[in-house]
Amino acid sequence: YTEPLYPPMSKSRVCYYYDADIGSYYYGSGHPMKPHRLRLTHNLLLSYKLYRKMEVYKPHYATDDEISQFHYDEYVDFLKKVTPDNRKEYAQNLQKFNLGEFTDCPIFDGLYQFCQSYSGGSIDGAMKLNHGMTDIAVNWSGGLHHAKKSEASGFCYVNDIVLSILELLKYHSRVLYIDIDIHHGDGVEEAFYTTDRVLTCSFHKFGDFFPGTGDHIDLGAKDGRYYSVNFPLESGIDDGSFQRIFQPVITRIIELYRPGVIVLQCGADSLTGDRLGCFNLTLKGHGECVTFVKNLGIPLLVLGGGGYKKSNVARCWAYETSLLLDEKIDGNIPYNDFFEFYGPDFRLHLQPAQDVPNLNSKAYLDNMMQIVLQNVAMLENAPSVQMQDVPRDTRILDAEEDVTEGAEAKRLSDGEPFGPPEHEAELF
Amino acid sequence: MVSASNKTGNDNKEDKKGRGASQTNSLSATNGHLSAGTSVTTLLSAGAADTGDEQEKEEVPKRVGKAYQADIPDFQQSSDEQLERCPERALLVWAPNSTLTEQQLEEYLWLAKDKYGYNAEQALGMLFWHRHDLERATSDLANFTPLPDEWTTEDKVLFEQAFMFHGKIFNRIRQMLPDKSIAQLVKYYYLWKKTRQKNSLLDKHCKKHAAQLAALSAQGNGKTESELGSVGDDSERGSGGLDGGDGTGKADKLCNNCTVPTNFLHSTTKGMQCLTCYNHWKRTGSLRPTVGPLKRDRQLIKHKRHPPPGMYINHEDLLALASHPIPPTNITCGISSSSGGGSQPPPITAGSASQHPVIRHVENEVIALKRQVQANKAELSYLRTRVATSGGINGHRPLVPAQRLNAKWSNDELLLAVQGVRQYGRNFKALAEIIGNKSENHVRSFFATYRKRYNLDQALREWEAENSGSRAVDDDTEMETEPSVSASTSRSTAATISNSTATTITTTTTAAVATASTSSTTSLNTTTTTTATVVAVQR
Repeated sequence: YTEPLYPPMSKSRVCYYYDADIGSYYYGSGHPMKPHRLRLTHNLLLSYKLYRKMEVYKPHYATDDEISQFHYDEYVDFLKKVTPDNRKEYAQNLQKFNLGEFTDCPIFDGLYQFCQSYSGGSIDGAMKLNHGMTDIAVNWSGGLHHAKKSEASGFCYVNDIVLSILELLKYHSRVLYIDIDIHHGDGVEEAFYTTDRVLTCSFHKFGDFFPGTGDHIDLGAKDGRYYSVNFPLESGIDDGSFQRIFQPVITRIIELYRPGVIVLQCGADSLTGDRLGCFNLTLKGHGECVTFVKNLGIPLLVLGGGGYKKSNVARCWAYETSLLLDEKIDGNIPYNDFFEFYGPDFRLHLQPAQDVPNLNSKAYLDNMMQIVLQNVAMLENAPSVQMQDVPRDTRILDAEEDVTEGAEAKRLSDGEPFGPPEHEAELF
Repeated sequence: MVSASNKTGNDNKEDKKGRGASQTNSLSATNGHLSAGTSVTTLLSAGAADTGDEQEKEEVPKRVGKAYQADIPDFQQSSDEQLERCPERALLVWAPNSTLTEQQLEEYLWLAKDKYGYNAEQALGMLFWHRHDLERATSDLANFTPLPDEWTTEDKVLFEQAFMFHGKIFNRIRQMLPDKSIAQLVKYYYLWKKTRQKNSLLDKHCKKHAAQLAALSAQGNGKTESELGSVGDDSERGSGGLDGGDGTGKADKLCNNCTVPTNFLHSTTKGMQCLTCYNHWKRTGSLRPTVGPLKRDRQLIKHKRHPPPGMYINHEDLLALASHPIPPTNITCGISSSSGGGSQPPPITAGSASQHPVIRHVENEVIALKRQVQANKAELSYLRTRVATSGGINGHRPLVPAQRLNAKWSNDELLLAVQGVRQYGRNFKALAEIIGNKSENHVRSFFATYRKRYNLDQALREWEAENSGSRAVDDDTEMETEPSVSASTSRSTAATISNSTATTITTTTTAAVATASTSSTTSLNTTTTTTATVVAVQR
């Protein structure tokens, strides 16, 4: 049982972004990433009657300018013009940007529009949060965390997470990024490696596993030192163990960092039975993370991510939507257009696999947690911590709060609605 | 205010870390879905990691610099006015409204779906468009009935063919269906994928064809014909006929010796036998032993292995399974080999996990049945919730007009009564209720009069067996239960479950007639009457 730090007063307002065409994009025969899982999720939300409880938006297509906020123009131009028909001409560029048939990132029909769609959703969600028009924004089509500034990677072409965080940074001084995908969130970490305005925190399998980064010693560089938190794990982790490490780490980070907004990437490949993943989490354990973060009461952007068993992905994200909406849903999958995908049991919840050993011993986890918490504790001492900026986050925050007059750093009380600050920030 | 150090970047650092091209590429190009062959575990222990990223790591160079990091925008202190003016780029499609109750929404959705064919999303969209005004939305539903996204049969067949030919390469499939976009093809593919076992048009065609063949062939076990029916097994059936001995292919399906059901029996001096027994007899002149040697404590070990009740294994099938080599992937559907004249359609691969036609059939049947079960289950639970939300089942009961009692038994009522006995035993009250225009006493007298004629004892026994099995059977004269009759009745029970009541009645009454005709006590009159009834029943 998790003690919510700040139990919500009432149900949260949730905005959900979905493009009806997104399920029709196809990476290619045999490719594990299947956008159709998003359609399955959406159908499940409809038949579980969750759709009607949230604000549903069709996202805009992100423009070239918006995507270029992070990515190199050259890369964006290339993504726009390459198609399965003309790719032979661009062999050199394909290699440069890590695209094409010998990589994880194939060229498929509608590739650029697909990127525009999922990025648009994340950016829209971020803008909504910026203007305080919602408590939670959800874009299950987003969360593609491997894409780099001028390179595709790990089935990701455009990094919508970075784009959304860049949007959030306009209105929030500190953003916390949490990544529970089984793969390390390397694209996002790299993008914000040298800044303290974004703290990236990733729990992932490490060791002989894609992408190979994310050791606990990767802490960030320059101003961003200690603002990257990595918790490497072994295969087979289960619900209990995961919560035992997740909650203390996040709690500590919140205490010390006090973000104005949280971005949560809920990659579903950390679930049991995933085609590429090797963890043993069930919906309950995975969803517990979502509930925990939601109960912090901080504005939240929820994104999708990995997940290579379509039916499990749909189950997971539908369940987590129900958690965000504080709605109980039935354990039987309701009849929907894609009912047959949920056989043979047609049940919502998953059972952990019995034959997958948890290679994370208690000793290992305790030890690693200690190391990680030590690193997090360094946040207190970091000189460039920007604690004095008042985040204009929630609607609750009205003119009563003390707001700093000038843009220059000054010592003042934080005035944040969630309790007194731990310490006064030091002046430069 | 914001340290924008990432903008200036440290150039010297950049040189060191930079983009170790081949190395980083190998890292990032590692196939995510092969779960990274290259091991990138660093040799650095926790202790030596104090310098963190400052240290040059050979395996994982940290990419720092303008080429990798994002440009952090400035933090804007927004005023309250700005909070209101949120530029909405997304299109709001639905927002919840507290004035509408769950019940109202459900009703509206039901109406939209049943009457106009809207799906939930479209209906809610319409409602939202009318700003949650239920009446206006309901009245507007008729004007915008959504076009059904149905594919024509021709399209569907083309798709299946294209799929079998090209696999999941949609731009090639598109060449065969140029008026469909790739998005539409992908969408249809996922809808079709799971239901194809049941609804595959090609399979249906094959089934139809095979059914025709089954009707033509005069011999063989009816059940096995339908089993082999689905995908062309002409080769199987063709080779089933043996030239050794006198292949009689009689209706007699059991081997005299080992009692195995089989298509073709061969005559021996010891009786009609299956192929294996026949071969043994031919070779040795004696009966093939179906019983093993004596055990220590003198108990015979029977070699006979009977399949579970209700299951029929044909001997020929087993032989075919055992000896038949795995056929190549292109298995011709029954079409080409048996279509008289005309053009031969190209051979079509029946893509399925198992390659062996016999197994595949049975598998397909099983899968189809399972699917049906699941769909039924889903429908049931769906109906249940519907009933629950609409306040109980009583609202859904069809109105039955109060009926006047009529002592005369019509054919329909007789049918109902016999079926009812099978279902409910001696529950006269229930039977009276079902039939409607008969009172309990009427039913009681029905029992007395028609007991022998319709073999109600048999039905009663079966009901008892089904319900408790422990109750003693009536001590009336036991009818001789021939195996064929009980078999057909139990099969008819199975048929009831798969909702074809007509079969039940026909079979039960046929059984009744059969028994009646063999019973010595039946008078000519009775037989005529029952036959007349049966004839009337079968119309």
